[in-house]
Amino acid sequence: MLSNVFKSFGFALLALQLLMGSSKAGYVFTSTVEQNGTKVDFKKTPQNPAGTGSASKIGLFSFGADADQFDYIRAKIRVWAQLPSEAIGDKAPYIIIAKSGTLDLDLALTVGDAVRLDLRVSYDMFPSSNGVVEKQTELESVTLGQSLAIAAIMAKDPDRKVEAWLASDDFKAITVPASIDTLQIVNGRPTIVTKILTSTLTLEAVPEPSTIALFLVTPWMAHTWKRRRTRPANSKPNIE
Amino acid sequence: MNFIRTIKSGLTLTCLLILAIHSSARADVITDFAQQVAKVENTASSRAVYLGRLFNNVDPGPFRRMESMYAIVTIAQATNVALFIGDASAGFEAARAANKVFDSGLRVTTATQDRTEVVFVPGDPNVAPPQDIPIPAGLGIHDSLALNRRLDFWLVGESNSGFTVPSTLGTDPALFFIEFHRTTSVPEPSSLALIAIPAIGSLMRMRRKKKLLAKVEVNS
Repeated sequence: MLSNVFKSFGFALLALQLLMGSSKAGYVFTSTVEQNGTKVDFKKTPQNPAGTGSASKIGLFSFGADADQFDYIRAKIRVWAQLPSEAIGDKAPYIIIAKSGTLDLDLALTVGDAVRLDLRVSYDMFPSSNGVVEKQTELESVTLGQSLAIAAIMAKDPDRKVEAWLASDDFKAITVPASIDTLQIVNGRPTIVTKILTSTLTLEAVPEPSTIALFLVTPWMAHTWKRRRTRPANSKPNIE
Repeated sequence: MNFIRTIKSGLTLTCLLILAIHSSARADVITDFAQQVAKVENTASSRAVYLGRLFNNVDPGPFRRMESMYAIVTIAQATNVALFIGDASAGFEAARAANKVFDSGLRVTTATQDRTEVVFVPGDPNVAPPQDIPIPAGLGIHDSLALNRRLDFWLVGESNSGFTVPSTLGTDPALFFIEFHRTTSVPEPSSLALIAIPAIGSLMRMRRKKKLLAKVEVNS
């Protein structure tokens, strides 16, 4: 009877977990925010205090109060940006996840308040243009180390929010604008239309390993318990 | 004889007057706009972005120079970026070395550093007066227009500076707009002196001779 209770409990937990998963779109966390546009010098050294590159703050993203309880396995981003035509391949700018309120990204990376992802936004990614365009990356893998760093950075914020930055080691002329003004000529006179830009960061996650272990181990324990309880009754007598 | 001299000096003065009236009367405004090309040329000395070509086949007419102008450009993260104008579609540094582009004196600075803005220089044409172009640049720009029947526009900042100039904004084109106020006035002091000095000289000579003649008549 006890085994049945264990078994039921285990399956109930598993079902609950699956149900929670589906209610969170299969552990796909998505956050859309207005772009920030702040740009700072990046890859600074004492010899070159202005740095060789630049980093632009995309925005402050929020994935819920328990966002630091997950292992992140893949990430993608949709962002409006203007990139130089040379920003391709290993010179394409990449995404950095940083603690909320970061001012110096070089420092943040050094002290563990930021982590670099293998998620690049390239000039030749469709649509490529010498202008401000909306780019959407594919889902890229997040390593275990990066995932742990993301969770740790999330845990540093009371609301579990994180900043995403678009960083380049090589280029200053990168813009992630908060808004764009479009000049229109009406009856020969200029007028302006302003558009606020947004960005979406998507993180694919699984529950942290301890949670998975609990849900896997519980039914197994129940099964083992049942076997131990039933074995003496079914076991053959010792012929020796 | 005196009568002829009076007529001569009168004619000189009339010419001077006509010239003065003529100069102030002949002014013109030309405007044009296009999508920004946004081709970048980064060298050790500058970072230049080609805005594009305007005023194709515009007749130079009787005008002498560009006197003042408005510029409206779409740009981000700019501080004191200079607007150069002339004949320079192939490359900025080569054209500057060949004295084919001229610094208009206009400087573009964005109001904020986190947006892609449309910047009016020196301000909204409905409110602010146009910005004067330095005389040598104004003459050079107009000569370039007269010679080539077009003008090329470049935004120029420091080497590796981080300003960006878009050609598109999403699916919309990023435009730039230019308005020149040009004039036939001859502002060069040398030209004015060339006309004024002989006229004043002849007047003084005439007055002196008149006085001498009067003296001679009194004495006789």
